[in-house]
Amino acid sequence: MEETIRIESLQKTFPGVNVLKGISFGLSAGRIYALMGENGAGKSTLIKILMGIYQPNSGNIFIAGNPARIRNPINARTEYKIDAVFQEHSLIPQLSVAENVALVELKDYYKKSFLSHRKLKKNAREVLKQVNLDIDVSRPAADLTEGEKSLVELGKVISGNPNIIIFDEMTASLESSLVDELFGIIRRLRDEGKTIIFISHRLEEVLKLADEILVLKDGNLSGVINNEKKEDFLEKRKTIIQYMTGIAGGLQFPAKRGIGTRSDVVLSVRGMASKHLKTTDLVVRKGEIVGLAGLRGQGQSKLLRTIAGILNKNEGTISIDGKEIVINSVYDAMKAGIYYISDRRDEEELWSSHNVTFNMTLPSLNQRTHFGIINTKMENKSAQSMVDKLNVETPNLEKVVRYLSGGNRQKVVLSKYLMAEPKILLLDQPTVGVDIGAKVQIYNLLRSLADEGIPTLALLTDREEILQLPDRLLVMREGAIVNECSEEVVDEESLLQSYYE
Amino acid sequence: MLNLKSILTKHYVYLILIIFWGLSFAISPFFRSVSTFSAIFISAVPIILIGFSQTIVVIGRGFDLSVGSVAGLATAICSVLMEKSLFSAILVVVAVSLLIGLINGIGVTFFRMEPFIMTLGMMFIINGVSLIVRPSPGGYICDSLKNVLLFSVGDFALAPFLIIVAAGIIGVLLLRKKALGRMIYAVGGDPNAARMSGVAVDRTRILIFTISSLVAGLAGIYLACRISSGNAEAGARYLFDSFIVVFMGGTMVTGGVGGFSGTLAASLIVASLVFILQFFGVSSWYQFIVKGLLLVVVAGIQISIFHRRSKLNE
Amino acid sequence: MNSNFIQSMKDSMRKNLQVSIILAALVVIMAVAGIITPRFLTVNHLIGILYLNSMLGILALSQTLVILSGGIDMSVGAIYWLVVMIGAQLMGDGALWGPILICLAIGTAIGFINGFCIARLKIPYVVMTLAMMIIITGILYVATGGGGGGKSAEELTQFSIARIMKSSQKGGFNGLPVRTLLWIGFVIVFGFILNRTSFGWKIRSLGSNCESSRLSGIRIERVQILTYTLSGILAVIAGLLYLGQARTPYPTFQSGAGVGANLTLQTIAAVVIGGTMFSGGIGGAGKTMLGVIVTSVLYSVLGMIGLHEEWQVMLNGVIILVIVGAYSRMETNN
Repeated sequence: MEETIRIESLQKTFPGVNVLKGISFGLSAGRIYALMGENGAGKSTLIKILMGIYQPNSGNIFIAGNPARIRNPINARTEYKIDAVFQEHSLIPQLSVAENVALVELKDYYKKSFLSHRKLKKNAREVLKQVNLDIDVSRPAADLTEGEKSLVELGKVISGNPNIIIFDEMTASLESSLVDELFGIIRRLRDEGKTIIFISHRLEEVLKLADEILVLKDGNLSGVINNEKKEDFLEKRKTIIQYMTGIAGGLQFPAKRGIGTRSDVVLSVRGMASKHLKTTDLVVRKGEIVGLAGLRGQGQSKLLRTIAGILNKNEGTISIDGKEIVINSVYDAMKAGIYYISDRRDEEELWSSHNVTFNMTLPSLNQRTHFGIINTKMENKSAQSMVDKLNVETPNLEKVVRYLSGGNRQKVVLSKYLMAEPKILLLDQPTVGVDIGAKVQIYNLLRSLADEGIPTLALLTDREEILQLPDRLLVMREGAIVNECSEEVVDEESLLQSYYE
Repeated sequence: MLNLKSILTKHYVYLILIIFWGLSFAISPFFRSVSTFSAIFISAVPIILIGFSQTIVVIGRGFDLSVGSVAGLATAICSVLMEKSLFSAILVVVAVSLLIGLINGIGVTFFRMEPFIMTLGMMFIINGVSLIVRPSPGGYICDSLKNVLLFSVGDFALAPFLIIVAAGIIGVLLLRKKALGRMIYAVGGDPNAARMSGVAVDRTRILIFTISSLVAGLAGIYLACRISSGNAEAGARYLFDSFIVVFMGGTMVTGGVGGFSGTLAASLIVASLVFILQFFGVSSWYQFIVKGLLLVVVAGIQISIFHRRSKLNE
Repeated sequence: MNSNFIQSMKDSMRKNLQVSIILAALVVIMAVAGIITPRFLTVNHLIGILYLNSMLGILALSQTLVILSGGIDMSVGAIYWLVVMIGAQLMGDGALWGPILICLAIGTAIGFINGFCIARLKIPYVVMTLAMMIIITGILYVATGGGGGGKSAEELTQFSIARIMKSSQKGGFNGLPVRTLLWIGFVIVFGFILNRTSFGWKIRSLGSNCESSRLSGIRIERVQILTYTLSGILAVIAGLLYLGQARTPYPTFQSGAGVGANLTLQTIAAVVIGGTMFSGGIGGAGKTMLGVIVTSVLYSVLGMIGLHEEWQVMLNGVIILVIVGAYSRMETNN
């Protein structure tokens, strides 16, 4: 097998941090490689170096045997035939699909006098045929669904006929049916002789797709696993986690409590329906952790956001501790003790340019002020007690939260709502982008909160979390709750079955 | 697809223009004269040109507060240099405008300054320079240039009309049909995504500011001919007019959305206002109130449509 | 842990570096001025500069509130002139409190309308406040016919030019101007509000990340409306002080562009020179006061060495670009 890309002792440092500490490996044509690692392991830096967005401090890259210096994304694309599909869409929402597809080549049009929109459209349709997408290419990209956007993006990349294609967390926002379709396309590309680098946090996906799995840890290549034969997943899974974290034996979850129907109902939703949700009923009891499962994009997040007053509901009632409450805004929901925590931490939860105290205390500020005046000492004291309780790693309370790690930022977000003394927490993927150590701490925190009387309704996506964390599982499909499962040991197969039918 | 709904939701600026003109035409006999329209065209030219400058900057997710001042500086330079040579005056105006635009662009890209602040500082500097070049209004503007730029056949202001038509065609073609135009939308719509797609974002932004400034300088040459003198403060009112016509024309502050045809129509509305009010016997001072209210109402409609659309997609 | 420590050192340095840059600029300007004309550095002269710029200072304060909340108020200058003209007409027969209350009511109403349209109707703040500026321009022209009449009430004038602790000796201490004390008082009050009240924190949270604020249960619409309303009220107070000093609303607002536009842009300049982030969230009342002082001292210096308006305007632009450019570079290096 010919080697398409070889990397030799690649190093990259940022001021104060050693992100890549001399990585070496070689990749062959016609294979799918998965790149795994925790946040901060160096995956995205590596990708950015390959795409020419960053320059390495030392080390060599050889493309098809020749030394390469990748100067920028255009250079990567044209000279070295490397291209990437990123999780963050690179489509311009206001431009039409056809224009977006042509964007890469637009500079060729610079010299020509005028663009021919007809030609652009024809070209775009041909490109999209390769990814089995048949849509009106004159629509603006903003009108597409997430799935369509991803496919357009992939089509855009394929149209440049690259030899090496990088998929950076592309599946993160895709519905499951689309993931399967995407995998089909990726396998086809492999069979055409491309080198595929696939990055994902999702172990199941990686094991299903990749021929070889490279694991990074703290800027080093910590292990390589051959996965040509797609079997022994359980064994490989353990190995991968061990390579990623250095911890043997996988994640430790707190024991389930199995509350059942014994305790008092805290949150009760009756007949709630909206544009996105079919009529929904659910209860969450004291002491429980309830998980929302199902294929991705089946309305789980919409459900949480509707209860929290962010999205409008058309009908139905919500009660807390048996008392019906009217929710028209986030403020109303919070006043009743319902606290929603978004998975888009930096966009929707934090004030990144402000310090830890500011971020932690703001939502509950009014509880501690006299005539609106803040007692700074008290604020700092309560923030400090949260820092201690949740074990937030920060040098001091003045630290600007932008500089904290993902896990610590999530702890700051949790603190900010815990200080407001919630009655129930609605969590949207509480451990996304959080390293393993902090994950375990968050599991234990949620469990002890539940024991103290603050139950959780959480949207979970990680298979292991779904099976091990919640006392009760609600499976959603097409905007409705279709299955409930409250056994102590969940039968994985029948659970998965209920996702689909 | 020119159905009623798309006219109401997308092309309402043209509708407003037609209503304005139609009503005035029906009611006022003065409005039915060639000379009125000529007067509108003559006063609309600088609004349209500077409106074009502002349109491309706003589509590219920025503001350019220096456009009015560049026009003012251009009149000042013309009034001083045209005594010696017409050619050198125009050359200097073009060179200075290009330089100003380039500096704006570099400040916004390499120094990462907010466009608003960068061009605000530049505006102050240009205003100062203009006042040094031409402390009080006056100076000489070459007659031959005036005769060309304001050329009329009888009552009809042919040259201004042709300038408007040409500006319209060039502006619309640049934004819709040239690669650069599409890049401007790409950069304004989502700069990060554009960068990922291999668009040279910084270069495009520098180009945007340079073109903006150049067109503003050309508008200044026309303005100098129209007021037949140099005036450091002549351009000031066009700064705010440019924002009015851009926003009224359907270009969004958030970048990436809009176009020049809307700006063109809005410019004609703004230029007509004075005359329309006159014919109705209302003091032309009311034009400001009407302009402001129109702007709020149009922006309000635009936003409510936009929100309904984004809600449908949610 | 070690890199964290370095990072936090950098944080605090960055915080103080901004203030150091502007203080350094101030010291350099004053030193140069002191060398050229020793009279410049006398207490009386320096206080005189503050006296003349108290109105700009209060206006810039109102702009600070709005910019911190993540917006801009393009109409503060227009409100200012509206108050000067209308106040003078109302005070023509010597009335004091009636006209003041009417002016305050007008400013409150304008600020409220701005805030309401921005928060509730979601009209972009630039568009809304720009439109408001233009509408006020029209109202002023229509109401006054471009001229303007009336005069300030005597009490208002006395208040606006009053000084306390004046030395009776010839050449002695000229006294502290009351309106400068008022300005400083406002800076302290709003500095306190921004740093130590929940309303102030909410304003800053909005400018930092509006979506986070909304999802954290902050009623952002209320905060926005209140911010713009406060901005309107402060503009009225500044306008009244100017009316008191000018006695008659003359010279008038000569500007075809928009009434008070230049003044508004000057307030924005002072805010960003002071180190408040134009995008919102970070900054404060004290910083803006420094920004006003730097620009006004510079103006004064230029005036003293015989460089007049055109040079002042130009150097104002240079100062904006140099100082804000320096801040931006610092941000990028971080």
